[in-house]
Amino acid sequence: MVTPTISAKGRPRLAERATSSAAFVKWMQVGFALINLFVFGMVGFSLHQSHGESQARAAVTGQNLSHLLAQEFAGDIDKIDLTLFAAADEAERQLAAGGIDGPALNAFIARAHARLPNLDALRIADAQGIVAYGSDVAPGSQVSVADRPHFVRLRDEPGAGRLISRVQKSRVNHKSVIVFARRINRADGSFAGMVFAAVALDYLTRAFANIDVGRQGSISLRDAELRILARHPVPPEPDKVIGEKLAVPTLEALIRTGLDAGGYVSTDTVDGVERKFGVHRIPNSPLYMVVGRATGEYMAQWRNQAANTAAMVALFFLTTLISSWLIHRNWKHQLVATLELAREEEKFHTVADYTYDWEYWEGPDGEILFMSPACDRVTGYSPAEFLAQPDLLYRIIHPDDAHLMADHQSDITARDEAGVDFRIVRRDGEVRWIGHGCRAVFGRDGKFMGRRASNRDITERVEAEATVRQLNASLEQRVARRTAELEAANKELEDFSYSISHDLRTPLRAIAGFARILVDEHAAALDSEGRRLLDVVQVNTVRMGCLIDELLEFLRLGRRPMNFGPVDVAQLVLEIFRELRDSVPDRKLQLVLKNPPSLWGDRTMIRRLLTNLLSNAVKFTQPRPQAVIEVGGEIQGDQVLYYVKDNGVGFDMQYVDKLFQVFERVHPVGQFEGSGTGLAMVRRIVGRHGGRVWAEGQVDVGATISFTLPAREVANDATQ
Amino acid sequence: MTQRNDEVEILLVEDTAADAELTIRALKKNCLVNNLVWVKDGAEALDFLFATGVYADRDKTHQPKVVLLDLRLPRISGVEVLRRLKSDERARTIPVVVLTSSKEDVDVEECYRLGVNSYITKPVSFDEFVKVVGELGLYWLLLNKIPNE
Repeated sequence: MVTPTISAKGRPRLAERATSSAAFVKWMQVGFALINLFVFGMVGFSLHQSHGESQARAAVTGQNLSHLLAQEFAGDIDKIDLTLFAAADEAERQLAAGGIDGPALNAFIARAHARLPNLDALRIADAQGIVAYGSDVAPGSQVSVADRPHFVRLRDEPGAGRLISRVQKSRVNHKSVIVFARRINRADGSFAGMVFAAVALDYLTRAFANIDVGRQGSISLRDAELRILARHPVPPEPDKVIGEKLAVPTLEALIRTGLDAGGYVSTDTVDGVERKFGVHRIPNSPLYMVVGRATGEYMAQWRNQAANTAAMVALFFLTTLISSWLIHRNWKHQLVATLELAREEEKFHTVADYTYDWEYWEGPDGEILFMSPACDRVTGYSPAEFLAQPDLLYRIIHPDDAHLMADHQSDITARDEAGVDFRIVRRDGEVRWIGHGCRAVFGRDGKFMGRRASNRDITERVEAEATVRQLNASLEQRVARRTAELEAANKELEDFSYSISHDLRTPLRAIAGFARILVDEHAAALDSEGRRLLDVVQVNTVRMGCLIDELLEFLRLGRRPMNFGPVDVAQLVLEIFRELRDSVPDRKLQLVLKNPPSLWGDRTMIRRLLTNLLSNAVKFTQPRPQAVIEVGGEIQGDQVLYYVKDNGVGFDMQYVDKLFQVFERVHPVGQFEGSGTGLAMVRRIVGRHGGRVWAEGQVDVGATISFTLPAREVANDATQ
Repeated sequence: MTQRNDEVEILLVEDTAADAELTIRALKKNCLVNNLVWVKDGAEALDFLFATGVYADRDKTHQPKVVLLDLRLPRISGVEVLRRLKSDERARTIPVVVLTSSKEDVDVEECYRLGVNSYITKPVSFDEFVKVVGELGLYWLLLNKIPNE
């Protein structure tokens, strides 16, 4: 709302406020960034922790599993060992008792095998390597296992103990198996054959498949040379894997240390999947159980968690980013608006504060809402003084002009705009004239908000006007005086002229009269010369009488009031021409009328003017057998041009100046009648109508008299 | 010019002797000069007409048939004479013909306003002068009838 301002100083600076808000927004953005960094750090640390924990847990799980499997398989092996022992003992007993009883041995083996359903086969080969007894062995079978390494070794090494073969194909039922074998001795200790149990790899594989190691996990059984005996899952091409030594250096190094158990991480040599492996040696055997869990799987939970967390963090980051951007944008808009507002404010303050005139705004209750600094220059009082004392405005008005302001105050209650000029007494006592103007101020809601006033020091103007008025008055006086003087002189001159011409007539009449009487009554007393001389006297009195009459008429033209009206020039010319033609019936006259326009003038004067021009034309064409007189005219802007042209004797242009002067003649007296006042009269009439007249002529060719008249004279010019 | 004043038919008021003589001659030429009295200024004219001064013994009831009045007169002007005459209840019926040198005279209007009966410009040419005077004499002396005669 309205804030009274005194000057540019001490005004709230919007621009500064805008700058401080910019700093706030900057700090806020830095705060957002720090919060985000902190959150990133915390989440990163936490994920790192859980990552390690997940890995550790996976390792432990793998090792435990391999341990358990190794234990379980060790139990199976023990059972197989027991069975092998039992079968070997039976065979040795029968040998010692006189020879092998085939059916009995087969029955024994069948009973033993029945206790170990996991075994694929339990058989006995003789000293020559022929598989003679056991599961699926047909009587008289000639299948030989003499070439099997474990057979060779059992035959050759009496103390070889239990051997475990490599993966091999059974020659009886062609299954992939590993074989556990033991030597059979005769009573004398010589080699009598071998008892062996075959474990089908299928069985192992099936057993492994029951263990949950995850979809990507693996379980494998390796022998002492780390050859793969069985594996879950079954590779796509088992022949390239089973029985092969597909082992990584890490595992070999681990085994070489002689430890029974361990763990490592490696890319699986079979299928290329990265796994964390747990390794356990199966007790009482050179076999190793290797359980691998796929890194991808055991870390999946962590990854899920990490992904969720990352998503949360990203969401948080995005939220803060968007809020920051929104706040920044909002602030930017606000800043632009604020700066715009500041500029506007600056502009309006500049407009208000730098007025040359003393400007103010008086509120509805007489309080001063604004006072421009110019008041100091005009009144000598500062804006602060006016603001503090609203009645100072009225106190400084010159007492003699207080009523002017009072009138103005009542005036402005009725009108929106009003002005008044009054004097003030400045602080220094000087009296100055003020031109005051004010208008009502209304808010957008139409509410009256006081008056906005503008005061200007018009002292110089007022003084100049007074001077001008004084000068004008004295000028008018002088003009009136001079006019009166001129009028008096003019009147005097005309009276004098009139008087002269008038008084001349009386003696002239006497001369003429008595000369006539002399002729009438005393002619007899005179000789012929005396009578001739009396004639001369009479002729000259007549001429003088004419001169006087014309002079009087000429003078009358100057005195006569003008009576304006429309004049049909063509009609008038025709009338005059007819009269003139009638006065010289023996002459041949031709009138050419070329559409002279009508005019606005004094009909009597115009008639006199045209009569003079036409009679001149008639007069000066006297020597011509056919006189042609042309009258025409045209409107030229605000003037009407007329001309009267004849084919008469013309005149020499060097005398043109004399043409329009009273009693001046360009032809010798006697050649043409006339007194020499005709054209002078024309000039006077044209002059009184506000026009101009001139003549052109050539000796023996003709003359043209032209004149212009204003196209339309004011009707009330008749006062002249 | 020694006729009886009570038989006067024409009163000529003219200060210029030459004009007076020319007027009388013009009247004479028209045989209208009987019973003419010539006075030389306005005061004398008024004395005659109102029977005062040197004319105190004149019979006021017998007035001239016409007054020929010049406007430019010494002492009392022609206009003043006209005014006095026309403002008198009885004398106002006497016809007054103003004879002047020019009709440009500034007093023309005043004369008409006061009730002049005729206004004649004396022509310079004697022939015309004789003609004009003859016409006016004929009219005012012979044709015109004035009341109560």
